Amino acid sequence: MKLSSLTPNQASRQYCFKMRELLRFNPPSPSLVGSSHLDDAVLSCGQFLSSSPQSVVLTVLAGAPEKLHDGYNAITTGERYAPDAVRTRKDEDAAAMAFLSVRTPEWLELYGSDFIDWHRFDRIRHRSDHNEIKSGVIEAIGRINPKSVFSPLGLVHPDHLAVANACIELSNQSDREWFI
Amino acid sequence: MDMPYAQQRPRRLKLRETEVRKKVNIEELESLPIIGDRKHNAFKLYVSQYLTIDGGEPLVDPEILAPEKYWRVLK
Repeated sequence: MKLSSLTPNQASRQYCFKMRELLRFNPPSPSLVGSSHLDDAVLSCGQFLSSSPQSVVLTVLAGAPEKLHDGYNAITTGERYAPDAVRTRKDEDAAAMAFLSVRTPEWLELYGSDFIDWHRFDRIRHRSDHNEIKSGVIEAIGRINPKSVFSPLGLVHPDHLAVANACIELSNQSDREWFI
Repeated sequence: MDMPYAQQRPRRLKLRETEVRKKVNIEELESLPIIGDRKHNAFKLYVSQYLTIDGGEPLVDPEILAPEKYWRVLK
């Protein structure tokens, strides 16, 4: 139906309908969901993942140094040897992905801030591995070949901010559909 | 959107959204409501992260059940 043949009310309703269509969240499948830590994707996108079985979650900061470490991961997992602590968290991640019926999770071996030796004068903690994060995500996108990619927004936590800033920069140079 | 920070700190969320809009064009999409308890049960599998209070009942963060919010990056 031509717009000119509609009454103003009909035209207005059709316009609203079109706008709703445009704003509907309907990413092309398969999707790659970028996650800062081993739980963030489910916290932020669990509903989407539960209805998107072709999705893959890529946790960017899932590495561990080979040493004993008394930080967040040791406290929450009860494992002082960092690789064991992260292994526990990866096992949880794999179980959650299986439960949601999405594909096997992917993990990059970059360190979360728990394993970075911050200097005491680092009052504002900015990570310095922007390019390493970008390279890791580019490599994963090439390997997994998703049609849509999800970036974290980057709130509060320096790790979230670092992963988000790298992904948002990549979204500008990518021919895939990106979501935040 | 980064949960639970986004629900706990709405002003930071607004500031960050403004900051991101300076880097890329984004449009806010319809929120995705949480249906059923699949998401919540999936998060429970992160046992080490699912805090317990005094060895009692697991702490159920209401943030987990808040609708999911997304933006599309416009090219």
